[in-house]
Amino acid sequence: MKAPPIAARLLRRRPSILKSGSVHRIFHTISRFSIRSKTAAGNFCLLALCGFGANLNGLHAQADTLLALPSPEITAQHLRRQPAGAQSTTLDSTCLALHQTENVADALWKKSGMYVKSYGLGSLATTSARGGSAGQTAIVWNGLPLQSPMLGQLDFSLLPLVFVDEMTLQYGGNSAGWGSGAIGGAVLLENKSQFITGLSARLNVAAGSFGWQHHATTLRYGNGRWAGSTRIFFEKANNDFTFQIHPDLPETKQEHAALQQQGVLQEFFLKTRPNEEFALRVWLQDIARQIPPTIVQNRSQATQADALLRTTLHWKKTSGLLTLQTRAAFFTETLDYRDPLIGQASLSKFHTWMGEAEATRWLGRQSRLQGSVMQTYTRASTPAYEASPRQTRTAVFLAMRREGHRWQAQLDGRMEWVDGRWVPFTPSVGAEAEALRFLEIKGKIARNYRLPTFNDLYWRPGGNPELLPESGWSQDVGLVFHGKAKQLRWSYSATGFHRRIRNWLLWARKDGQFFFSPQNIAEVWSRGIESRLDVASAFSFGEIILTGGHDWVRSTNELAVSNPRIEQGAQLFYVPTHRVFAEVSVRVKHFQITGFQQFTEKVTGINEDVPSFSIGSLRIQYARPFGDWNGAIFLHIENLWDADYQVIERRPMPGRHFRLGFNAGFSTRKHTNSSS
Amino acid sequence: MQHLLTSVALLLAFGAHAQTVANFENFNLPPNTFVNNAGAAGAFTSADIELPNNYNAQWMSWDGWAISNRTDDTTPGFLNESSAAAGKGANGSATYAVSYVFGASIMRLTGATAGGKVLGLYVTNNTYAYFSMKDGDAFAKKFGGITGNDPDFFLLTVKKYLNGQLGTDSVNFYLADYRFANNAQDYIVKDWAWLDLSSLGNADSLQFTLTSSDVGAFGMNTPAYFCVDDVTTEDVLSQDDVVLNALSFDVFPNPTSDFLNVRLAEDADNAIVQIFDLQGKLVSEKTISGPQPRLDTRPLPAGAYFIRVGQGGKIGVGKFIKE
Repeated sequence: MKAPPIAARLLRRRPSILKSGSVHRIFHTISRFSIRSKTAAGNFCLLALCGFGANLNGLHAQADTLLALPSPEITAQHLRRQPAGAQSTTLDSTCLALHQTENVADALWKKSGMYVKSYGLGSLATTSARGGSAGQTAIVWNGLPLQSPMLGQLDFSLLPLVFVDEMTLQYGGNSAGWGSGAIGGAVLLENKSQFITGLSARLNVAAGSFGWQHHATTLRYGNGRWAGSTRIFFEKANNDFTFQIHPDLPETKQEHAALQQQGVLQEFFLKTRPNEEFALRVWLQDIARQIPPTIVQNRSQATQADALLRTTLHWKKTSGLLTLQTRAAFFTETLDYRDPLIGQASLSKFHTWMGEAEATRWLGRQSRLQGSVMQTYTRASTPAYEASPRQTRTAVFLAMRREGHRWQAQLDGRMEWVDGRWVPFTPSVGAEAEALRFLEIKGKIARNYRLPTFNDLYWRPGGNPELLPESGWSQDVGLVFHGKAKQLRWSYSATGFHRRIRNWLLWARKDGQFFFSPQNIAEVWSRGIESRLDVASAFSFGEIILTGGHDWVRSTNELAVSNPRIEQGAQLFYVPTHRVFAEVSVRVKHFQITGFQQFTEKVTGINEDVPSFSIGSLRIQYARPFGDWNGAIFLHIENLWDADYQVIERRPMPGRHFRLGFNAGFSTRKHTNSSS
Repeated sequence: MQHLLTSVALLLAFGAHAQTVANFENFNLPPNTFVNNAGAAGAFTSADIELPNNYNAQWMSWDGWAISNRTDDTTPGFLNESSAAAGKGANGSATYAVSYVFGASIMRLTGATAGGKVLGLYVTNNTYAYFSMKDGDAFAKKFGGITGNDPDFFLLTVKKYLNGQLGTDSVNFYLADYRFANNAQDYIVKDWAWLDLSSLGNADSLQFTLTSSDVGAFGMNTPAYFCVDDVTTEDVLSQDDVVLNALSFDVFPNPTSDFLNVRLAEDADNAIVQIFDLQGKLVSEKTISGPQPRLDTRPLPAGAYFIRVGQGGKIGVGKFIKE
């Protein structure tokens, strides 16, 4: 692709440690690798279990991604997307193209160290990142937070990967960059502005066990100056799987667990000048699902209907060493919960308006300065609120990065006012360096926070408007060893983290108060070690890629609480101390087979412990091009060993099940210019 | 006055046990009504029973006691917290009391019953708790668990307060019991059941607590509700009180205008003195000590009064005239 002159100059003079081109240099023999792991070596390419599709199934994505890597856009948001000293992993469009029938929760389960707390097939899925709570993982879509202001979290099972071009998983706190909630980690969902000339189209059709079917289509079109993208998906499942509830009992069929959702993501891009462009995005999605009973509940008639509209307008202009961007957004969501069995109907709704102006400027050859001002206005309503409370937030972000030949360092800071109250100043400082040819060292110290949600503040009974934000400091230190020998590439990383969060919010009973209310009464100490091993080898007939990891996480309450009953030193609910996972992918010509296995140690539940479990999956795919066309067929076998397990107590997970599908696409595009 | 004295004399002479039944029908509720706000009084009163109510207007929530005549015995869930599982009051009546227990619910004895004996009451589950135990819900388990063999229970425990002291004796009643070896014997109370409380003896108030086998980190998962009706009490002016638990004392001057001296056989030591009007309404209560404590009767309207003195587990009853 052709980069704008100034950007190309910047790219050339950037230290080699940061060049995306290093991806190709390091892995030139297996350049289709598509998961980039952010290490001390910048965009050092570690692994790519999705890589098969880069030159086969992912032909359509190949141009999108591999050509896009060295483009100037990588400088635009990197200060926040890939801060110096932090651990992150990027799943680009090539990788995600192989998972178009899945959702973000599925991807996190297999591709990240974040622990996904799934309530069952088609049900709620939240995360615990580095021992944090569900609300302590930020979800950012093209630079804008997606968490519900009412709940402070998002259901990852409702984020279809077909709507995402690139996903970056940030580990550890980054509240300086993303504001409230980025304590344990952040999930960044990106869409690329793709100024193609011509037309490309792709169709995905898949079906599987328990009445599951998934259909998606993606159209891209344009003439180089303007472009558009239309993505539509439809998913339906009965989720009526059987499970062994007890060894002495016959199998039980899951009831009332059906899901149906559909959505459209429409994008329009306009390049008014070579250095100026607009991107308009409209995300519409509608979800209807039944809430199944627990295993100690005879029946359920509860349903939940979600409807959402997310609209953003993004303007970007590069002028010399200066890049200016603005983002405007309007998000609205409704959640209609009904339970005819008990006569309950509850409609919740929120509207959020956001505006952000951002400037990034190179200062000399090695330094960049970025600053932004963001204004957020939110209004929410639910029968449990007395009125429709509103919240106004103003945030100022500043970042400075300096880059040397084999090192880089970054200083960030954020100030935020929430309804006239100051949130404690949130700084972070990180650095990384290539100490030896085979060793990189990195580290980061950050202050992080999470604001009380609307439910925390206004829910009746219990809401407490006087709540303080959760806040505390985190520290990360990581070592990355890497090397190569002939066709073999390997990398091993070990990252230690430490974090203390004070004013941790708990819904608890005060003395003499018969209802629960949120209070800043807890303090949580999280620490752990994350180990990752990645090995890739290319052969004349294909490639073998191995990735594995082990997470040891202790996340303990440091203050005893009577109700809920929490002892000092007790591990947080639903935070496993040990988690081990491994994936092996073998490609032979047009075939690729991928096996995944993971082990999760038992976790503490609200009522009882959830036993440890080990589950595996297998994915077989055949993909090849046919002229301008390309296509693939695939078979997924989930829960390969047919294990009986639960992630959340009393919520059964399905046994072995299958998914079979194909995708086909063609492209007449002549040219692609992609940016974020 | 002559009539009053004659009545008392007859009462004492023949040792009659005056019983009172609080059936909550005095609220005269419109059909299908639930009252969970006792207003400024802070309690619902029926006959000689007072049921404290804690209503939070800001949160529109409550604990303690409420009065209901709702009949929905089929709808599960917290929105049906106001109905008895029996679908009506005890003995075919309409109105009953519902308790949401936060820690403990208290039932106070007043009037002629104050310091007397609760012979018993009818009790049952409320509909919300009943179906939660029967079928489970999003937070609580169905009793018996997955296999039906879990030894689950939902237990109501009643203790008494007398002279400010919580008694050690208790009466237990299983609102649900799944501890039987034979699961066919497992049960959840749905009809009104008589709970004999006479073994607790004299009391100023009763304390009701609930415990369940279904407990998590956030406390008891089983909805903490139960219902009562037809609370039957025995007046303090009974032969038992006067003869079996006689406490000898004098009051003077009688009639009196301003002050009334109380003289016990021994020095008074934190003795409880209660003064009732002719309707049995408690009009004054005081703790006294010393050889000859004095009561201020100036606030009392002119008329006849009963005076009841309790000390060391003994009770004496007398009368005086305020001029």
